[in-house]
Amino acid sequence: MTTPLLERISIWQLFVLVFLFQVGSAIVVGAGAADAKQDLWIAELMGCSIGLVLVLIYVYILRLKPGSSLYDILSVTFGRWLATLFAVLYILYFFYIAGRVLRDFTELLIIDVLPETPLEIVTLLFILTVIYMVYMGMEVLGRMSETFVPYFITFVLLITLFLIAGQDIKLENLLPVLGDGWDPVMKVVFPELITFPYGETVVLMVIMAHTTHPGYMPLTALLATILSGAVLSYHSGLMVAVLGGDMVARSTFPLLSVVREISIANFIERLDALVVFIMMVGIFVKVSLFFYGGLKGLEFLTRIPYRHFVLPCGLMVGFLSIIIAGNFAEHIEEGVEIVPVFLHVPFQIIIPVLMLAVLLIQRWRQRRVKRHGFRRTLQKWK
Amino acid sequence: MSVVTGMAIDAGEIKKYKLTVEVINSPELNQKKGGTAAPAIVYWREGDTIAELAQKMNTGMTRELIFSHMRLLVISLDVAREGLFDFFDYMERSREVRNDFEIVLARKSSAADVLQITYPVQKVPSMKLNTQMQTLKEEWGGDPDIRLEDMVISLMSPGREPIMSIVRIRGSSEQGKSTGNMEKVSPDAFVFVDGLGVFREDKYVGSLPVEDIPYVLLADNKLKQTVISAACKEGVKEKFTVDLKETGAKIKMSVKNDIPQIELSVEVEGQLDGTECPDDLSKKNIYQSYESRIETVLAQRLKSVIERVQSKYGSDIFGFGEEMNRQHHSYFKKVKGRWNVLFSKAAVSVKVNAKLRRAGLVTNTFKAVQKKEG
Amino acid sequence: MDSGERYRSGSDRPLTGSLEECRREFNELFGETKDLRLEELQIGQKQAMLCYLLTITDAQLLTQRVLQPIGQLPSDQSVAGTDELEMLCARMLGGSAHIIIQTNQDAVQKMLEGYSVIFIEGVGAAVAVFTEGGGQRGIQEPTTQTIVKGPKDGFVEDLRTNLSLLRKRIRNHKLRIETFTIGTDTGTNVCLVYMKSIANEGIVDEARKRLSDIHTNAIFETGNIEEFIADKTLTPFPTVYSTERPDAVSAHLVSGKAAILVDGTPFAITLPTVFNDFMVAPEDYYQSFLMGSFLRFIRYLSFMFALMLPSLYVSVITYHHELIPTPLLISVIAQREGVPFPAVVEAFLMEVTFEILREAGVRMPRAVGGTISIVGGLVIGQAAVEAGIISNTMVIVVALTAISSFVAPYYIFSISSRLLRFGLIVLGGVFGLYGVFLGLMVMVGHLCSLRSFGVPYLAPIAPFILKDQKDIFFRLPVWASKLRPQMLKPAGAVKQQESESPSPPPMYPSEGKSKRKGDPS
Repeated sequence: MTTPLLERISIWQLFVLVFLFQVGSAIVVGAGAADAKQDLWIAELMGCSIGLVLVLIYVYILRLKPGSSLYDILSVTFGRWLATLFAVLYILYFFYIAGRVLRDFTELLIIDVLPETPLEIVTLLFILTVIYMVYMGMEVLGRMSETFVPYFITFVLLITLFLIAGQDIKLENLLPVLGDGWDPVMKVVFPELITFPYGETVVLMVIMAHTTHPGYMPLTALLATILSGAVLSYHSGLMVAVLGGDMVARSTFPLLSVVREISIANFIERLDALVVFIMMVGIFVKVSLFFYGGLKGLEFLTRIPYRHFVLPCGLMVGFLSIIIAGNFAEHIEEGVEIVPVFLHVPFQIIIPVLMLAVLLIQRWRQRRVKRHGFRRTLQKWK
Repeated sequence: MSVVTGMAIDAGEIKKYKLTVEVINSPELNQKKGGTAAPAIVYWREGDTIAELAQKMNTGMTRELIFSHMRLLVISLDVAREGLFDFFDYMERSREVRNDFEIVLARKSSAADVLQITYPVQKVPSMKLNTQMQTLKEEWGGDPDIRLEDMVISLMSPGREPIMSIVRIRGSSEQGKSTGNMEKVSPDAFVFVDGLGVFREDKYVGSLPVEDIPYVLLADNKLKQTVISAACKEGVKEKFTVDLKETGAKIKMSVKNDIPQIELSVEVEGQLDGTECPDDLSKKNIYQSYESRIETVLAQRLKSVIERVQSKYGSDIFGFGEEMNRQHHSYFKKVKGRWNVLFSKAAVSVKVNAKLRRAGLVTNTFKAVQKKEG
Repeated sequence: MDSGERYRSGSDRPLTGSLEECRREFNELFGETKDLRLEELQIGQKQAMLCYLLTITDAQLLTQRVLQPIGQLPSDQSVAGTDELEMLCARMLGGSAHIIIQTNQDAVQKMLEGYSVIFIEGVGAAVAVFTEGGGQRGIQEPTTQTIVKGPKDGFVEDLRTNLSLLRKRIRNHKLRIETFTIGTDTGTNVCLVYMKSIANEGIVDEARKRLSDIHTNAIFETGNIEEFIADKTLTPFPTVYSTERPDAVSAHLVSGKAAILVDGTPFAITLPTVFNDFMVAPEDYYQSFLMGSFLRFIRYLSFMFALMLPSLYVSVITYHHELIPTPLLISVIAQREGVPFPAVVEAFLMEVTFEILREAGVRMPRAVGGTISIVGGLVIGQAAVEAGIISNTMVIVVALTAISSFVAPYYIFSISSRLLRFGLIVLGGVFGLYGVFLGLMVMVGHLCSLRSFGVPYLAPIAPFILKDQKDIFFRLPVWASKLRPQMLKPAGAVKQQESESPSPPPMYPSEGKSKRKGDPS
């Protein structure tokens, strides 16, 4: 119990985790709608295809050093001191984003479902559940997401079904395609849609190395990313088709507004509260993974099993998510303007790319030394 | 808690608005316990914003009000003339207010009165009106089925102006307010649909007669089903009636000399409901002649409605501007500020393609047989 | 094979052959207990002593197996040493279960197990012959797991009968039975049963180890064993499956599980156990797979109902009225008009009442059982509604919940939903659906963390095992499942190689089809 135990998750679990992680909060928040409007689905597709490159970089780094996680690779590439610094930064980053994602959800909950409940209570309950699950470990989290993913997918499909049955989908709302050219689309693609959610997959570098079949890991991660890109793009298209681009742009939580449209036979209607709770699964996975990523960093720095940190750090993340912003507008503004540029880009793009570069140089050198050494031995031989 | 089923907004005497809410008296609606007491309770209060008033209703009512099951919102013409922006924001923002209630205008009476006219079958006035409008839409296409979200979209979009059904009270509204109204075969007061309110921006500018509503909907491709009558032949008095079951409209927009060209092509399909003419309905060519009659009449009426709206109100209630935006985005972007002016100048052409599919349980009318034998 | 903690009494000195000494020692050990019989005999030339406990010995067996053979011995038979005793036994007692024992201690042990022990003067060994008898119940239909179609026999309190029921079902040399004697006070026989080369060796070893590690004074029921060997006891979910149906145990054995039977109880436990086992009734396999699958669905549904219905009702009524369609809401509100409690208190009240009723119904002597339903159903249910204390809807909710909780084919399993239900009601009453869903998440997390003998409790759902899905939510026809459950990591995975649908072949068999069926040519 005292030694840090290595937990392995199955390939299917990894797939589910990556999928829920990426779809989790992105499907609720509707990032980028304000500018892209009816072309949001194109923007999502672009974001996904560029995000795919990022994910490719992450898995490639992991493949270069099989079996080691983000923190191990940091220390291999940057040396002890720099690695420690980066690790500390990553830990803070992960905890902060965990808090942000949590706040996204608690705000949604209070706005739409529980207006009377204080933010603190909602947050505390959620974070306690996260603490319990993370304490149980990665395997348990993996299995839990496996259990819930069918419900998640069923509900996501049901939304479409109900919308079709209620004749709410007006495909002409998607027109005109690219009416204002590529500019508004590209504006949201970088950095907003690339970093959120695809770039955030960087935290999965902590767990992706430990799977039962490491050989399948890269393919799994990429397929899951493609699937979530498809789901996100499809849903932004759906939102626009139901509400129209302007409404989507104005809506705080477009998917919820869409679900509020559902009304079949005056009986199947008002489903938004239910949808909130189904979406909770995705948020839960996302918060837990970020939290776990940070905890693993602490474990790496201190060499103490992460379970010792779960409770205090968990409460800290909860607290952070409350004080992060004074009101909802501040929270969203930070999320759209500050976080992507000043946090996401360095941690999701710059450092990993640096890591990859260092690793490639190291490998090239090793090979040269090998070849060189071989030639030397040849010479000696002569 | 008390369930609010209806809301009425009138202009206040002292303050800006007078909000009336109708909550149901739930034990009265219980099938076992229900008696003859009032099915709903109405309370009003004046104030400056609707959002504030909605929270203040407990000055007169006992329980916590929940607005999530609201069925009807009635707005008086006076308020509609002043503009809707002020309170639609509250409605859209509120998590409790849903998107599934009817919005109507009240003509010739206060909006509050509409909320109080009882009806024997569906005792709660707002529930009655809600069901009535739904059925009307399904059966005859007489209600544009405007919901909160549609209102917001048309208020927001430069290429579309809002419309709303208008209701009126027939009979004495004072007697209609008592439960006694529910006990009569011919109730003292009735609420009926009386026309379509046309808006420009968020302000009421005038109305169209109820007969025009299906054509307005058809031009917007929103019609489910309606009935049309036409003379059997040009210049004949006898008419036939066709139930149009399937309707569809395609709009093609173009611009010529800065004048928008609207090409509306409509396809309808239906079955004969009745005829007064002694035509042999087992013949194909009779069907064809009926079809062409429908086409002419329908095109004529569509055109007249659109032209009337163009000349009288200059307000694009059909959403042609939205269509223009989809088809000629860059052009519309330039003119969206003055779209209504362009709309009123637009050239409209209507093409109808009608299909008569079947003619009910009999072929020839007995009139035709009578004539042959006689 | 004996192992594990054993009842030890008497000295472990080898037998000396002195009858006097034996008699003295036995009298000392057993005291003046009434059922101890120490009878003098003559075997050939020698004095002998027959010792047994009257209460657990079958007189007829004793006569047949011991007294008659001894009587037929020639009077000049000599029994001098151990070797000769063994030969004599082989001739005299050939065929009946007997054991040569060397120590006094073993002799005592064997007597307690129902053997009759014969000591012969001057011989340093004794022979124990199996003559167990005593009261036992005949095989009857199981009372806790009744089925309509299928075998009607159930385990009884006698271990040997139970084992015979298993043996008769599985006529296979691979069926292994290992016995353990557990309990310093009761010395209970416990059997570990498994199928060699089908069951996973690791699981069997683990079970063996855990059984040997039990140090306790008394075992009366498998429940006692259960708590010693279960992976985690702080859980409302059972992690071993206990049943009194031999057909269920046999089915589990051939699917690669191990079973533990305890002398003195009709309940056997099988392990490892996963969540889905509790949703399966043996009857699923005895009727059409369509019906079997449908019933599975009903069971999962009723588990959900039993777990969540009251809490969902409470939270929706208290916090989320908008989820209820208007007409329904109106009628619910109309009913709740005048109910003096908030919904959560109402639900709690009714649930507790129901639990009391249920417990009373179970514990009551059967003769007065009918009173319960009258008092409970009529007086409390109807009167409470009439008096306006409880709303009609709440009665419907509680009744549906109660009935759903009885659907579980395995009675003990409903404990989990009964306990968790109360927690969820509180969460629902305080935090609404949010609380209920978080509660569910914690529950699922807890389920995911459970293991039974190394097998994850939610397998094969989480971790997902595709090959095992054919017998989880649906039961596919028997011919469609070629493998034993993979989650148990069985040593022999294939259960039927050449299984095919019995439907007639197509009229014009195409080449592809015949190839697909694995024709080697």
